[in-house]
Amino acid sequence: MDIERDLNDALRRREAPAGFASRVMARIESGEADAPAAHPERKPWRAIAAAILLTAVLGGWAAHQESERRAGERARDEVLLALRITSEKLHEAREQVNEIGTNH
Amino acid sequence: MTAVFTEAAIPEGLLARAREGDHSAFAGIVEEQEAMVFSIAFHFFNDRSRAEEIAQDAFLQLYRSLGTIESESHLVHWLRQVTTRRCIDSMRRTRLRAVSIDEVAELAGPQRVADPLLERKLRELVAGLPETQRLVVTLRYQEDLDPAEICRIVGLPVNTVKSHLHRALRALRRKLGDQ
Repeated sequence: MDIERDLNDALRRREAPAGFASRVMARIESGEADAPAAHPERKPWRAIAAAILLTAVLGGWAAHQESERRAGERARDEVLLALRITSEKLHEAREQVNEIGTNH
Repeated sequence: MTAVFTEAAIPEGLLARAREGDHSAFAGIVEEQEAMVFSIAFHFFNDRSRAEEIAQDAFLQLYRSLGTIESESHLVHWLRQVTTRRCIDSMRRTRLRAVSIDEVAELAGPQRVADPLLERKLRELVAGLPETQRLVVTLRYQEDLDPAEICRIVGLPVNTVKSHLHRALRALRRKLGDQ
């Protein structure tokens, strides 16, 4: 038995089913084969929409960061001012205590 | 009746006309190559309806890719490659449906040799081989390609292709001997 010759026989090409080419052409003429390329304009719009959304998100995030930074600076300034006032008051109180001590 | 197929039986100019949008030229290409494409899928799955589905999809992909096809021989190589990939993809997406011996009998076309039972049994055994061995055996014995040509289609080193062929033949011999 020559298996290679038998495989050549068993696996020889078969005719495609009747009407095969017509069915392929019908699918092509229905526009099915064009589907991926039929709406190329959609891709740029999608990219533009995605870019706008990304810009808005990043812009919002940056504005939020800036607002947080400013609030932090304001809080720091207020604390420094409070410390300065406290320090001045303490200084004045010490001056008065010293003055009372000198008068007596 | 057994059709005799040549390597690239595409009439001159058909590809160029198809590229320019001539649908009748593309239909001519389909008619020239349908047996090759359909048979690769059929011998892979042993299932006519699945083979037709894969073959139709391969031609639709060809239609979309006409601009990248450089020549008639490139077209034949491209079709073999796309069909084998589609077979593997389809195989991986769904479980391989078991095919009964009655269904295989219905598939048998015109017989060239005196032992149709052996042919049927061989097709069943080939359809039961691991997927890479099945493709390699189909390309070797249906398309009469040598291992160097097969390795360009399936993307494996030539020695791996030879090894798959060797193992497939050994398995087929063993299984036939067990019958």
